[in-house]
Amino acid sequence: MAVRQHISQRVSIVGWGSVSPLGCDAESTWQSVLAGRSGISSLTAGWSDDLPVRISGCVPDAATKSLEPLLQRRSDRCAQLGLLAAREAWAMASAAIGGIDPARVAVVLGTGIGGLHTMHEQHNQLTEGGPTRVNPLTVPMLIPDAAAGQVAIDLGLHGGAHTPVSACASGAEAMMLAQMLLNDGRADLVLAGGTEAPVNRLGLVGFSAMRALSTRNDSPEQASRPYSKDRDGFVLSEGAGVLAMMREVDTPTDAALGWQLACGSSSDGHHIVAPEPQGIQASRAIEDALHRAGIEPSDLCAVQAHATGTVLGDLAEARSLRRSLGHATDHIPVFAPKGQLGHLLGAAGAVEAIIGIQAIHEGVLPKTVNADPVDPAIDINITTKQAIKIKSNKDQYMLKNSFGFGGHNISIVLSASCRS
Amino acid sequence: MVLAEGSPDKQELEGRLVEILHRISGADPAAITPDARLMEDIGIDSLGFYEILIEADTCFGIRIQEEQLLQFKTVSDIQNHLASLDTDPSNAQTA
Repeated sequence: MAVRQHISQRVSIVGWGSVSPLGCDAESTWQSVLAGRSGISSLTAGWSDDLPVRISGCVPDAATKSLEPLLQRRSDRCAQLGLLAAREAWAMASAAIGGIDPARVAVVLGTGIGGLHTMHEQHNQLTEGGPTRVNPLTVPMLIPDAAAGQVAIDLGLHGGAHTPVSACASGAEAMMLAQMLLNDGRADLVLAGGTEAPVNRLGLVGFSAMRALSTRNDSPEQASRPYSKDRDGFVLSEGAGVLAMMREVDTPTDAALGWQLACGSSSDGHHIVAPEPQGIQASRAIEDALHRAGIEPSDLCAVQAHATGTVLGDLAEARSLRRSLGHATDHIPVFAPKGQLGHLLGAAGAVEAIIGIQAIHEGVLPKTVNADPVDPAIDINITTKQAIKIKSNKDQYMLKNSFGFGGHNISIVLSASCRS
Repeated sequence: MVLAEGSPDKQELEGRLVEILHRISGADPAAITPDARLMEDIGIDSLGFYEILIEADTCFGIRIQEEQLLQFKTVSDIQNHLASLDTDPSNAQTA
């Protein structure tokens, strides 16, 4: 059967919101990225004392404390973070567009795990207090789709609520589904992104048991080291990112902050957590995205890498980029934001995509913190020393990767007008 | 917080019940009067009723029977039920 790939209809991004270890909103997160700040710190709460990993990236307390007390009580932190990001994105989009019919607005909010804190806490209730002490909201708080549902409830949206669950590719997959919904005419505006709140005993122990996490407990700000020869695993972080998207043809003049041209996807079909070591299927996702965007590797001004700081994952991604981008790889700068953010799992794709568009718009590709010294086996052009100016006043294209346990590969081509 | 020893006086019990219902529903404490209807006036939903059950157990050490729980219509229904259990220690179980 002949392979049919279509050029995608690009969609406009007309609003965004994020909460991350670097800030309570998208702008403060971006400013922290630019300033080179780290979102990673030591866990000081007593519950972490006996854990092998005692570092993480946490959202500032002020963010969730701003939520109504009833929402704090009746929703998991995962949904709370998603709601905060969605409210910000919705407010921004509403101000730019106006007159949006809620029946034509969909929510696509992915997560890798969902309400892990609730699961952990209520299991403790069960074992310590018995069956009568388990919260009746246990299930509605821990289900992965709770965040999408809460956003639709909170904002009164009726155009469908969806939850892709593809581990650390969930947020990026949500962006792909959003484009499909828009181009299929199922919605006129989509709030798309990801949310994750895995920083608790069960989350840290679970990832730690598989030796996925950095154990640099004494130097948290240096622990997340994408592409570095000294990398020893990722740092578990929490947060959420949501982008408001609509068809370009419907977008009012000057309302677009940027565009999503196309998404590519593939599956490793290899191992439940280990990446296929040569990055062959990751390459297919990258090439799929470029083809659907109708651009060549030489058209890219930058790559925003998935690069979590694991030995195997970073190497496989670097190989996939070298294979797919060919000689252009020598000239295309690669930025890996997890050096500052840590790994936001299912939220990573969306939070980082917002940073990517901000970078193109501002004409500055940030430095990749902690990448230096780069692993000699990594043969790509990483921004290790300093931020790089993105030149030109025409629309610029950035490739963004997101990969997840289970072998999920998503690549996205983003664009914005560079104002410099 | 468990009232395993001694019993709260009526006023204290009512005050703590208002606090619990406020936490469960988010309603203004001033609206949580004895005559207020749990669902219509305070906004407690079906899951909230079962939260009342857990809170009574956790805060007062009182296990409300489910068939009783589903008959509560107003705040005073709960108050009266808790008071009746309080006067009959054999009905109250400590946590």
